[in-house]
Amino acid sequence: MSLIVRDLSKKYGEKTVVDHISFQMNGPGVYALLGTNGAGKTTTIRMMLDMLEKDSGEVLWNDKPLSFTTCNIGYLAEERGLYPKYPIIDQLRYFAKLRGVSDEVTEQRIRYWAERLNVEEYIFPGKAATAEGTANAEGAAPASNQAFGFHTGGSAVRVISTPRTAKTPVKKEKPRTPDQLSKGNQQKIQFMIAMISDPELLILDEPFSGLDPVNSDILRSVIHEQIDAGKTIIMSSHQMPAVEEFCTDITILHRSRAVVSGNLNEIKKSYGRINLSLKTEEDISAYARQAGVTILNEKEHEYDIRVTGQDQALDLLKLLVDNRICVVRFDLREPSLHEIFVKEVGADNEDQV
Amino acid sequence: MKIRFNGLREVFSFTLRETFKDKRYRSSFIGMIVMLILMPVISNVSGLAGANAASSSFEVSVDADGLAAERVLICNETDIPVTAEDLKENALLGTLPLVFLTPEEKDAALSGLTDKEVLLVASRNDSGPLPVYEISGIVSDESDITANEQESLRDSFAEDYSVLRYESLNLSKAAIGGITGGVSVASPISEEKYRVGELGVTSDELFGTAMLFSVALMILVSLSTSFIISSLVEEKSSRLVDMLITSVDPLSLVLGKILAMMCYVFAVLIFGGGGAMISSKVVSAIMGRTGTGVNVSEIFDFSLIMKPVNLVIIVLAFVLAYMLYAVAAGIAGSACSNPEDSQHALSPIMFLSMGGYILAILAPTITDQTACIALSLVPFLSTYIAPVMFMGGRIALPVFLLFFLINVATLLFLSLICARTYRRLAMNDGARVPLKTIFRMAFPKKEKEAAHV
Repeated sequence: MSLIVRDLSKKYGEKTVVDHISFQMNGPGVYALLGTNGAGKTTTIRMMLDMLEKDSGEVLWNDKPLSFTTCNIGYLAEERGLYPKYPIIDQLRYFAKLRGVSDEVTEQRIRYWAERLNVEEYIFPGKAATAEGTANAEGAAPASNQAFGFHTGGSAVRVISTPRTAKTPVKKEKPRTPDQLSKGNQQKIQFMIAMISDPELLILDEPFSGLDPVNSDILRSVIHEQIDAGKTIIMSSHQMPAVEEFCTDITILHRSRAVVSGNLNEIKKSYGRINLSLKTEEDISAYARQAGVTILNEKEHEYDIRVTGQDQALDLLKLLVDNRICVVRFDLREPSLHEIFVKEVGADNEDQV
Repeated sequence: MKIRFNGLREVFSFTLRETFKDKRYRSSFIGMIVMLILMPVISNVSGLAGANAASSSFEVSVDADGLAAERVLICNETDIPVTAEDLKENALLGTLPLVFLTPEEKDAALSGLTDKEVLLVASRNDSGPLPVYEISGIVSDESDITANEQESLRDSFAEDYSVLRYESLNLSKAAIGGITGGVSVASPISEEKYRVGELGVTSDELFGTAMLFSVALMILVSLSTSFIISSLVEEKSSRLVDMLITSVDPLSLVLGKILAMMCYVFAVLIFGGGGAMISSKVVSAIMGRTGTGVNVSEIFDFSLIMKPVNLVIIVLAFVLAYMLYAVAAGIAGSACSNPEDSQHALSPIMFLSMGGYILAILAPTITDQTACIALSLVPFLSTYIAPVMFMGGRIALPVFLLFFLINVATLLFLSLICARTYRRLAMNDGARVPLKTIFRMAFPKKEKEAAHV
């Protein structure tokens, strides 16, 4: 597969909201669109999905214009919503029908994802809980997925939730509606809607916002499964650790323009190894000044130091060794995505990250 | 721009299913049907109350069982013979003892009239160029007999006396019928009204048709437009549009709702209308048996609507009017982002509908041919007027076809606007988008596209 986003632009009146954005994916993986609020991430996604008219540019999927007819797309919108008063199960079936999924497969997928995301009790209220839920509670995919042919991969993430241990018959209840669900559970239902067609291209706009740590971990494990299954994912997020965990390529948008774009490792390499984490047994402030490095943080002889590069770090190490300073830890690393982001979009936007 | 209908069936079936599942809509559905079924009952009961009030005020009819008179004295001073046998079939006089007096006995009878006697005198006045026959009814000063009863007895005698008078001239029964049938006179009418009469449609029929048609259409438009607007605004305010618009063509999203709502509202009208007809028949039967009340069908003449060809016209006109107002409501609804705005969006549509309704009620009184044609061709308003005008013979078939053509073209134009703008309007989560901006969105100038959203 290949996804090419070329020269996308959008103006509202005189205001440019997306300014000639381009990026490309040549194979499965996760691409991140990063940026502060109002940087143009959601507008870019909406143009990619043809929800908004483009002022210029094109989006190609396997050399054809990207659309729901040329590609099986799953989309989790930033502004999430469900019909508040309609039964959840009806809404899932509705979206499946709109995406052309057969009734039989729809039922299988709903059951799979309900179990996988721990929302069975809301979708099938009153149905007996099964022992399979126990496996799910530990973060693994439900056993039923084998039967339905879903791709699941191993995940390092373990999810802690209330285990189910036995079949407990429960009285049949009225179908649940979204207004009876918490925001996080509504979000999981919306994620189910995005996944109902088993998409090859998954577009997740701020997938982790509003989720508690437990549910974030569930979603993480699901995304890992999708990556392992060879899916193409485009993700917009403010959560840098999550992006670093999944993404191979990124574009950082700032004031409607791409300020950084490319492979995450390459980008990091281009910034060089400038973060030095150092632990010694005595104060080294004088040696740091002598070596010309900047101490960012210090706590009981543990230092976070900014260096200009590997040479400067090694000069400092040599100086310490020559002066018989005991170095307990010397860790020289590339900048984190968070640091790159802050550097590129400016410290004034840091609070929005 | 290509207009496609991808997802229309799914949106339609989902909306229809969920509408009937929704407790609020279900309650409204049942409530409206019950209301329509009760309408004839209420009309008849209120008609009965009105008739009773009128009856007690004017005492227009006298029942033979309720007569205060116990004896009627008849003095015939004319040359036309009247016997008890001649009055045997008389509804009032036939039930009372009759005493025939000679003219000589009249004075004595006059002075001796009891409180329960009436003296009826038939006389002939020859003072004018032609002889005039007169019937007088006389009661005592302290009579128990009311003036109304006295008049009824007099008139009743006068009717039979007239027949005897004609018979004395050796006229045939048919000739007598022709004479006693009298001549009905009406208010002066214009040429156009006269033409209506020629086509076999009375003003009562036209008024009944206009009233029923416009009320039904008003119910249809009011219910559906508010439902459609609230449904679209709900979808937008619950942030569902982002997910939907990626899977469904914009026009399908609106059209699916409109068609589903059409089924809902038409079901209300069909079940409610059918129920109303049944309840009307039942009420009529009950009132007919008891001999009381005024049936609504006696007040309004709906016979014109019941003609098969007119029923087809009404159904077609309803569908066209519904679609026109509903698509307008779809555009208005998609321009709003929150429920507070929906009332503003609804106002212009309701204004148009109210205008059409008022004109339809006035339609039977509009006799000017040019005005009839002009009103039948105004988009939106004409949906209320043209079908009634056509059924009443006020406009010809070509004008009626032109009415359809104009409104179908308007509908297509609105659908085009909807298809071109819905996607952008759906993405707008700010203030309500003005109509002018919607037009600019739909038909942008090449050099400078409108950019409200």
